[in-house]
Amino acid sequence: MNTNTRLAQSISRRKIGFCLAFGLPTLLIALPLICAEHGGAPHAVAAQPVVVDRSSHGSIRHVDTHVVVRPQVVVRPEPAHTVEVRHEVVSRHDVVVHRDVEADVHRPHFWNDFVYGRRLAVLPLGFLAMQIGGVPYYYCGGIYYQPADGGYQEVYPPIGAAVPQPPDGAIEIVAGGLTYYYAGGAFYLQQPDGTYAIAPTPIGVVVPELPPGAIQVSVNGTVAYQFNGIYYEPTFVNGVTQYETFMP
Amino acid sequence: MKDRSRFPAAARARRGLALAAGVLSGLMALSVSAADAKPAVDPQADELLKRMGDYLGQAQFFSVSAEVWQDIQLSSGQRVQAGRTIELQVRRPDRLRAEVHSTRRNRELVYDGKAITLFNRAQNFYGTVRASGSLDEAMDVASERFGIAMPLEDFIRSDPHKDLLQKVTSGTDIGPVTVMGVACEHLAFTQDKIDWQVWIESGARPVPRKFVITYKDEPDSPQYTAIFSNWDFATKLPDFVFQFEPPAGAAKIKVKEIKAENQSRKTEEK
Repeated sequence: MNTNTRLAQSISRRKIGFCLAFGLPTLLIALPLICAEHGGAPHAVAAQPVVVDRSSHGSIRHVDTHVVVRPQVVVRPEPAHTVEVRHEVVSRHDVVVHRDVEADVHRPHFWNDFVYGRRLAVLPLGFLAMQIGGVPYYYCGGIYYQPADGGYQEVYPPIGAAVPQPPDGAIEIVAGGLTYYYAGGAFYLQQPDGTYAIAPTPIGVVVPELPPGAIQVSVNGTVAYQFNGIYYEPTFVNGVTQYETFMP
Repeated sequence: MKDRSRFPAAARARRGLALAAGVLSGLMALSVSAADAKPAVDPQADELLKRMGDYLGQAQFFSVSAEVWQDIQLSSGQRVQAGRTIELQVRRPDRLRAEVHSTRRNRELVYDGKAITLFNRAQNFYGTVRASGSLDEAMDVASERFGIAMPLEDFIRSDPHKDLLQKVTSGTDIGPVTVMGVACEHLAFTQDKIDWQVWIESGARPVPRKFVITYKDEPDSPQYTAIFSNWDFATKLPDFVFQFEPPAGAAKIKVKEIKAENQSRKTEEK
């Protein structure tokens, strides 16, 4: 063997040595990390987390999940009054976001006391006057009024009514890509001018509580509730009774 | 010796290979130990939790009451506690009855080996979903398909020790303490998003007496507290305990199935 051949063999052995020394460890070190990222196997699909109410059931097992059921929403066409639907809405932080329907805390709000048609001699202090489609309305704490017989009467929330902020205790409900604020049977959407306007009630959305004054009815032999022309079907959602809006 | 002097390049390559192999071994050991790192759980805490888990998991039937207190934040920002009681009746392998009572709410969940029935006693609504198999299997169906978590599920499952430690990163035995007049051992565990504590009765019957979860990842770290009482491993639980008969006038309503679509949406939001 001449010198060149020996040199070539030596270089070849060194190459193999380097490849083995650095290629193999790199692979062996990377493999567990790759596996860890993918949940145990390089090609495993990440498991879908379970959606349950994390704070109500006291479970370690379901701690990484919590409930918010947001089904697809179909908004009824042609609202009586124009409400601008804006997608880029900054979420408010002073509303109940993840409504805990399980916890037994009564949260009384002004609008809880709504009774359709109830008459008042004078409006509550701090009312707001507005015109919707040329019709006069008055607003206070999530309840709407119209003039009647020299006084005023409580009426259903009119679509298009815009107020500076959602009523106290409004529940944030994200559905169909929109963030609604639900209170007193009305669904408010933030407008470009910063106000909150009542939008048509989204159909197929689940709300944790009925509007105050909803009337129990029977629809095709099934119990339901009706409020301002919208029907609410009681349904167990995450094991707790909630209400899904529908139109028969 | 002769060979080495004749082929110094080959000798250098061998030395390099040996060195690299050494470095590789070290790195591999580090990598493996990092990947398989066990949580830093105090052996005493682990042993006590295992005793509790084995005791509950091997019990063929039991009943227990729990008083639950849960931190709630009102829309005004004020923090209050909501309370309720839970009555659990468990008969392995496939029977469960859970009743949740509070001033305004009153609901039940019954599993009879064939179906899970939810009952809202306050409004007289009930709904049923098919499920079968062991309690673990039924609870998995309930949570994965219907988003229902059994109250205090961690203590009902067949291997509470294993389930409870699944995501634990550290655990400590805080020491002996009394809960409602009962001598207990206080254990504290940490996880990524929560801290949790359990107080296990000292002596021959290692049952949980108190359980607290602190949700560290939520504003102001709200807590869920359960205080257990009336542990009963002696009274037999016949079939009728787990049979649901709708009361007069009860209306059957739907049980909403959780869709994968909602799950993925929730994941994105998180």
